[in-house]
Amino acid sequence: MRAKLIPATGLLWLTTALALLAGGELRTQGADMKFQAFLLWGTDASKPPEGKDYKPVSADIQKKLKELPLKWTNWFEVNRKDFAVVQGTVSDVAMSDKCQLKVTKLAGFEVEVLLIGKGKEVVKRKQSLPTGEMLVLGGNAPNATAWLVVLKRIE
Amino acid sequence: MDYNAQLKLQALLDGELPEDEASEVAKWVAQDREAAALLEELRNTRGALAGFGAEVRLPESRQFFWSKVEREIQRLETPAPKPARESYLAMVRRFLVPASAVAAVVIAGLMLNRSAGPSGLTVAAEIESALADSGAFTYRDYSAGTTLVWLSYPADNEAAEIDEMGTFE
Amino acid sequence: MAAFEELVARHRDRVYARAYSMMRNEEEAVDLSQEAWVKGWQRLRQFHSQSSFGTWMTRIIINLCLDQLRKHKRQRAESIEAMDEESGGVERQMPVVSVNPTAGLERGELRQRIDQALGQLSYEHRMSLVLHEFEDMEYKEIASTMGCSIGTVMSRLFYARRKLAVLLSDLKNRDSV
Repeated sequence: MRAKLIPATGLLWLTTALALLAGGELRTQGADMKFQAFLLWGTDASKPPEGKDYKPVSADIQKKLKELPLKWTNWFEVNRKDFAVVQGTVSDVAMSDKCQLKVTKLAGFEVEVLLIGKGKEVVKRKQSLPTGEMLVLGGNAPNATAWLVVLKRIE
Repeated sequence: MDYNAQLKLQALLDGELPEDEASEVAKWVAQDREAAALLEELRNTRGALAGFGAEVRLPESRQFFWSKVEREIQRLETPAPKPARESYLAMVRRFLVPASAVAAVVIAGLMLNRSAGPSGLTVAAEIESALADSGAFTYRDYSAGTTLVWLSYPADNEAAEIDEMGTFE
Repeated sequence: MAAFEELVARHRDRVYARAYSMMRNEEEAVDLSQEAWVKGWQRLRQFHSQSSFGTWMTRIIINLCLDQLRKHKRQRAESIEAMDEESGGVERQMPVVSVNPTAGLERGELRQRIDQALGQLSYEHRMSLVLHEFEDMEYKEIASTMGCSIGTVMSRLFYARRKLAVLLSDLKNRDSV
C-alpha cells in the first residue's frame, strides 16, 4: 500500500500560518492591554433604590455572572471605566469615591490587580488574564445585597 | 430588633457582657417578647450541643493506634546514619553532576526563549495575597474564563454601620 | 514511653472527637490525631501542669486541624452552598425556632441529628461553634485561634447557632412526617 505523502506546499502553508499566529500572539503579549471595569450592585429587587440611576448590566456580563455561584438575581451597573495598561506601569482606576483599582501589566498575560476600598488595601491578586476573560471581586453589601468589581480584558 | 441587639443577646448568654451591660440587656429581655424568644432559641441550641461528642470513639484499637504513634516517634528520634568519608574524586563528581544538569537546563531555556520571541510564553501561576481579608476564597470557571474572588469585606460588624449601598458607592 | 502510652489510651477518644468535629472526615481525623500525639511527645517538656493534659492535647489537635483546613481552602473553590452561607446576613432575618427541636429525642438520635446538622455548616462557622461550645473558649481566644476579629467570631457563632436551630427543626419535621 502506497503511503500518502503530505504535499510539500500544504506543509509550507501550514508552517507559515503557524509562524504568523505565533508572531501575532507574541506581539500581543508585548502590547498594551485594554480593559473594561465595572462596579456592580447585586440584589433580588427588580429595580435600584429610589434616586439611584443604575442601569441593568449588559447581556454578556449578565450571562457570565449567571454562571457563577452567586445567589442574587439582578445586577445593576453603578459605574463603568474603559482603560489601557502599559507594560510595567500601574493604571489607577477610580470606580467610585470609595473604590479604586490599581492594575499592573506583568510578563505575558499576567496582571496584578489591587483593590482599594475606603483607602485600605482589600485584596491583591496576580493571575493570567487573556483577552475575553474576566476577574470578578465581590463581597456582601448591606441589606442582603452584594457589590462586585468586574475586570474584563477586551484586548 | 437590629443585628447588634441580636448579638448582645448572644453575648449575654455566653457571659461575654460586662456586668452593667448584662443587667441592662437582661431587663430589656424581660420586657421584650421577641428578644426573649430569640434568647430561648439560642439557649436551646446550646443545650442540644452540651455533651455532644462525649461518645465519639477513635475507630482503631488501642494497640494498633499506639503502634503507629510509637513507630513515628521512633522514626523521628532515630538519628540519620553519618555518611562515610568520601574520596576527593567522589566529592568533585558530586558537585559537577548537578551543576552540569543546571547548566544544561539554563542553556536549553535560553535557546527556547530566544526562539519563542522577546517575552516567551509563560504559564502564570495564580497568586493571591489577601490583604485586609483572610476569609477570601476563589472560584474558577475554566470554560467561561471567569475567576470569582469572594471577600468577606466589609467585616460583619462594619457592615452594620454602613447605610444602604454605602459599601463602595 | 509506657507512661506516654497510658496517656494516649486515656485521652485518644477526646482528641479524635475534636479532630472529627472539625474535619468531618474519619480518615483525616485519625491521621491528624496520630500527628497530634507525636507532636505531644515532642513537646512534652513544654507541658505545664497548670492546665490539664487533655486540654493541652486538644489545643494541639485544634491547631493541626486549622492548618489542614486552611490548606484545603486554598486548594479548592468553595461550593455554592458555602457561598450562600457566607453571603447575605440571612441569619438576621430567620424566624425564631420556638419549639425546642431536640425535646423528646433519645441521646443517640440527638447526636445523629447534630452530627448531620454540623456537617452542613461551612468550616468557619463550624469551627467557631466547636471552639466555643466544646472547648469553652471565650470570644477573644477564638478570634486569636482563628485569626479574625471578635466581631467576626460573634457573627459566625450567631449564624452557626441560628442555622443549627433551623436545621435541627427541619430534621425533626422531616422525621415526623
